[in-house]
Amino acid sequence: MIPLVLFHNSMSSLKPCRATKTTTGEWPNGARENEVIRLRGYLNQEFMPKHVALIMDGNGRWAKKRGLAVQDGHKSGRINLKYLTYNCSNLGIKMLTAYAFSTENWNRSRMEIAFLMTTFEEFIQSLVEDLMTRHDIRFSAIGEKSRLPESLQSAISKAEEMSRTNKGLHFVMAMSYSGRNDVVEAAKIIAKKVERGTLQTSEIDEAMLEQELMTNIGQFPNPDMLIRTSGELRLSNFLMWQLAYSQFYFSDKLFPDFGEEDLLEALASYQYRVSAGFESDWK
Amino acid sequence: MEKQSSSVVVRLLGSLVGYMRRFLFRFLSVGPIPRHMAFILDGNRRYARKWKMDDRMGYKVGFLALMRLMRCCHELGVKYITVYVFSIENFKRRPEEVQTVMELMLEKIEGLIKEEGILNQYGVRVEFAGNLKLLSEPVRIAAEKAMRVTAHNKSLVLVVAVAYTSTDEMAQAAQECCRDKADRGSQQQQLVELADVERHMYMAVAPDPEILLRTSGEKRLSNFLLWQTSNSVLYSPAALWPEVGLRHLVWAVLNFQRVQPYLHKRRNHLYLSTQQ
Repeated sequence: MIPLVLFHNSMSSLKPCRATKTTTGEWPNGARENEVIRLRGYLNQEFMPKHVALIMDGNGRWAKKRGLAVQDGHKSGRINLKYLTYNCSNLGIKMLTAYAFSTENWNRSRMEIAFLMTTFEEFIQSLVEDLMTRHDIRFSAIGEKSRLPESLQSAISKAEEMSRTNKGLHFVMAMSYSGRNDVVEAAKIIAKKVERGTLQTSEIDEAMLEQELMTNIGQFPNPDMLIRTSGELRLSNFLMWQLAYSQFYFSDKLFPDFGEEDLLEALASYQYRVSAGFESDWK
Repeated sequence: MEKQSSSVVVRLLGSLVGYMRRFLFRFLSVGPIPRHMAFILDGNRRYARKWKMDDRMGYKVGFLALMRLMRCCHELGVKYITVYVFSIENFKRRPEEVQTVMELMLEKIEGLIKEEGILNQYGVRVEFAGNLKLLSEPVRIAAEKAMRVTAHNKSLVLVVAVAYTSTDEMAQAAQECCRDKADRGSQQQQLVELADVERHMYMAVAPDPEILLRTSGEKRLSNFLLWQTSNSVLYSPAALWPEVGLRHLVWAVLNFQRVQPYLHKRRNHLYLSTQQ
């Protein structure tokens, strides 16, 4: 393994103008509010993405950097996610899909998994108490719910039931989700239909497969944009089919540090791309 | 006399550059080298516009860049290269443009598979991934001939994704799976498994790519290798495709080497978790 000097990854975003802030994320007095107001001014409601996907990476590293336990990192991640949901709701984004737990994460230690499950329950609880009633947020969960603990499953079904008719931001939480399994499950459903005789093999096409995917809830199944924190440049098996034409935004910030100004910057970068028109050879 | 000496100087310089490049690759080989690299060839038309050429010249320069990069990858030790040449979405462009690309592809394929062509020289096996039924007759025949002629080469596999979209690939794989199960008979209760779907994909000829490089700074996958890139490093330099060079390759490989131990673990976890 070659020891490397880590160069500044300058390809993580395309900014319409320079934003001046320190690399540790510490703000001088009042500067954060000014930054938020300035970025909000750049955003155009017409080009706002309808569906944003979010990979919340970096809780463990954030805690390690501060000398805390991993659990504290997850806790601050949970709090940050609630604020981000609130911000997205205010900005007029229609759907937000967050990658909470992947099928590969089942390989982590049992203690961490148990803590994560309680964190998810607490998060859903705080959603129910606060955002659902005051901001009309609708909650859904996708993934292999059967692998989750009973209490979490009942909390999910309760929250889904309660917010079914809400018209605000649709928050989708992906727990025990894998993009590949999603497609395979859809193929299984279609295979069953073929077996029963209600469908011919030659009739199977993309649209049919897309309909059977887990994410076919809500108005906008395909994300316009994916945000991944903590500087990793990959997809990690999230929303594979649905991200075919989405813009990616990779941020170097760790997830608990990813605040409103970073979200606004990501949206500004998306809008800059979209309003400039796609000049690329590919959609 | 002068002409001879200048060509000697040029040759010396050329061999020096080649020596330095091989030294750099040997240095890189201390760490893990990706087995499979995927490229999205984006920016040919913008390059043509920038240098006031017409699109056809832009594509030709892009092809030269592809050959250049293929040589570098071969020297580095990469075993599989996948290139995204034409998407099913691109058929919706103007007919003249589609015709230009198709003609150029036909010309290049036929040039490549000649005996003294670059493919046989370097031992490159060509595979065409995609819904080849959508291509016109001469192109499809040339593609199949190329696959046949180079089937014995072992050094490097070049997978050309033409008339390809990942969603179409997955839908076709599902269709093939169902057809398979129907042929096998309905006595046993057989469900579609992940391994079945993977077996029927167009890209089953190559393992999952470790690096995906998309030029011209666009940060999208555009329906390319969605299934296979869940654990690949995505790299998106701002250079247009004809401008891509050795430095982008080196940077991509260095980035890959930085995260490789973690990705290796993740890849094993992905297979373990899907066994359940």
